[in-house]
Amino acid sequence: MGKLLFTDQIINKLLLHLPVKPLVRFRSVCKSWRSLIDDPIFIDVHRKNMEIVSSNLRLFQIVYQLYPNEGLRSWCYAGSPSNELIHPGFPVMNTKPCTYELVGSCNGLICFLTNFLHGKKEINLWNPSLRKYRTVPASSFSPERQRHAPSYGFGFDGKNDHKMVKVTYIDDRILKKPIVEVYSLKQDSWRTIGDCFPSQYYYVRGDTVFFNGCIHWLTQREFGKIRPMRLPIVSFDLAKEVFQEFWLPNPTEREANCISPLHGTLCVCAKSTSSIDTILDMEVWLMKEYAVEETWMKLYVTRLDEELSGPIIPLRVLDHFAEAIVYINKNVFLYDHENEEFEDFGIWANGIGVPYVTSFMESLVWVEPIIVETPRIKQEVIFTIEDMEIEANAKLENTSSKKQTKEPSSESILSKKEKEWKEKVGGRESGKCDLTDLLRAANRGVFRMVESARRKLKTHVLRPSNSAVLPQFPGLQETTSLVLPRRPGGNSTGPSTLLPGKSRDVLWWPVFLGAYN
Amino acid sequence: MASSSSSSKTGLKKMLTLKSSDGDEFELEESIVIQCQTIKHMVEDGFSLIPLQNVDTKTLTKIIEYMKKHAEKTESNKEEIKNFNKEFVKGSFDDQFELVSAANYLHINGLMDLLCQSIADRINNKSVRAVREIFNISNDYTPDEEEKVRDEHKWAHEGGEFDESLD
Repeated sequence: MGKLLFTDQIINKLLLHLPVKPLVRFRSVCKSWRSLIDDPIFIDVHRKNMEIVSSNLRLFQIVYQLYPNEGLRSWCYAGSPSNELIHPGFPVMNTKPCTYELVGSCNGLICFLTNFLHGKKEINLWNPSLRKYRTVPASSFSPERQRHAPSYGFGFDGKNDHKMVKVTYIDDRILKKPIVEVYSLKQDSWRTIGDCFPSQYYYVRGDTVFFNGCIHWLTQREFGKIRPMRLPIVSFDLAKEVFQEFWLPNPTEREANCISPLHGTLCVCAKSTSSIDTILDMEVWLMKEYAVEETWMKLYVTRLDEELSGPIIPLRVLDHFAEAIVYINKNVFLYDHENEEFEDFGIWANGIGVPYVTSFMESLVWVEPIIVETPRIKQEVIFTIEDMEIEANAKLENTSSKKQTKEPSSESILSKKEKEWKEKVGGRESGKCDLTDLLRAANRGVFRMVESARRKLKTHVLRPSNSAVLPQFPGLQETTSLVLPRRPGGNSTGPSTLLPGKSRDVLWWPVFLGAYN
Repeated sequence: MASSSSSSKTGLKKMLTLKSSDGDEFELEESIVIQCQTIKHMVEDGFSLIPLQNVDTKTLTKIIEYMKKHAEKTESNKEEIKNFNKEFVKGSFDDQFELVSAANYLHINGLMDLLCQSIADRINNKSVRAVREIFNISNDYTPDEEEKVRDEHKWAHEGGEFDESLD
């Protein structure tokens, strides 16, 4: 077939129309396809294509924590709750108790903070469509006395770099402007750009919205200050690295708590001014012309359904038709202002904080850290299960394919043993693997890995059967299974799982691990 | 095989002749043909007989069919064009590839997008092996290399069966 051989140019044009998963798979077709798909220019053009597709389909994602101390899930929709998409299904997991703060997202990347209960903080980047997740180095600037926790923002400079912004509020006797730092993903480093923040009388809060090349935040007045009379939206241009203020319509700014891009400009949701004592209604305002404060206008006011009692928390206004996504009593709804109706997403988010809603696009955008640190499973128990698997893979690769000058480390023995063990217990009927085999393998070297895995998985293992707890959740089976030490797909052809496949394998864990308790 | 446009409006319209690689000539209105960037530039340079050495008669007929239909595009017949496009992209991969090559050579952007999207949709769920067959690509990875590339994104090779068929 295919008697004519295509030029790279035509192949390039063809591949640009594919989504992420087949593209990543087709890297295996041949070397020239792989270099085409890995090419930064291809990734950039593909990103632009996907942006248009996503905008046409009105793709958005809801990122949330189902339970406190659980990982992040992302659910994807096209335009409305009824158009649920098959999601990449790569949740972020942490096995130490932690909470998440969503910072912002752009180009298919999500940036968030992980606050561990023991006080450690981490900045994370996540590309759910590419199933990649990593930690970004924190800036070293961290004065002891701070008025508020630092604020972050994330976005794209429009050329070729993604940047993160950190605003640190030093607590001094004199109220000083905060210090602003910028992190470049390309350069993998932080640098201070000084006290260019517009004011010391307010600080920025909440998650951000990135569009038009700028990060946008809502603001809050410093405690005890009456100035400024009104509060602004603060934007930071990532290319020029300058701040700008857009004053909010009066008196909405007091209660503004959600900011979204709409019709190419900004839109905010605020507590309704007509219902002073209740928070059951909210107003949606649009700045008709971007950056022109005089053009703020009220789009609509929500009318709460009597059955939905509870405070309404706006999460996002969707582009094109301005429906609002709101959070009421731990449930997520879409408010259709034309028909004054609420539509349930069937998402129950009982985690800490409110869900985060943002537009979604698939992308191949990813930047690996420049300095590759040696994996430290033992000390840092902050990996996802997938990461753990990836690491195990990496180790296998390192030890089997590359000849290292180092002496065979315990890790290589570990992976060798794991391979042996795989061969022994692997195969199709892996569900029937022999416990003595497992234990013997463990004794011979998997022990270390098991030990660290045990610490990581303990909380999950001890949790009662997940599917029984939440039967009503759509697609729950798929996502929760990732919590468990089981690879999706279930066959055990690779070294990427500690235990052979099949969903029932989780039953082995308490038994298996019990041997060491 | 030569066919000339028998439109009643030809009176005042400027006509152009396209010549396929098989030597067949097609007479068309200029307004139809200028959807194609390559020909448009040649027309601007004063050509009225345009030889297309890279496009055979079969492919050129299809492309003319496309250009004629899309020249009629108005606000009211959107649905019709949509259906036409749907029919147009049916056919074997080989036919589609001939068309893509021609569309690329002739710089007909709309057609290029249409064909690329349809081919992409068709190979979306194909297995790596099927894609190699369809595109007539020989695997230049060693087994070790191939496994390594797979392992970089294991998940993309999992999750259900991939289509092994070649059509």
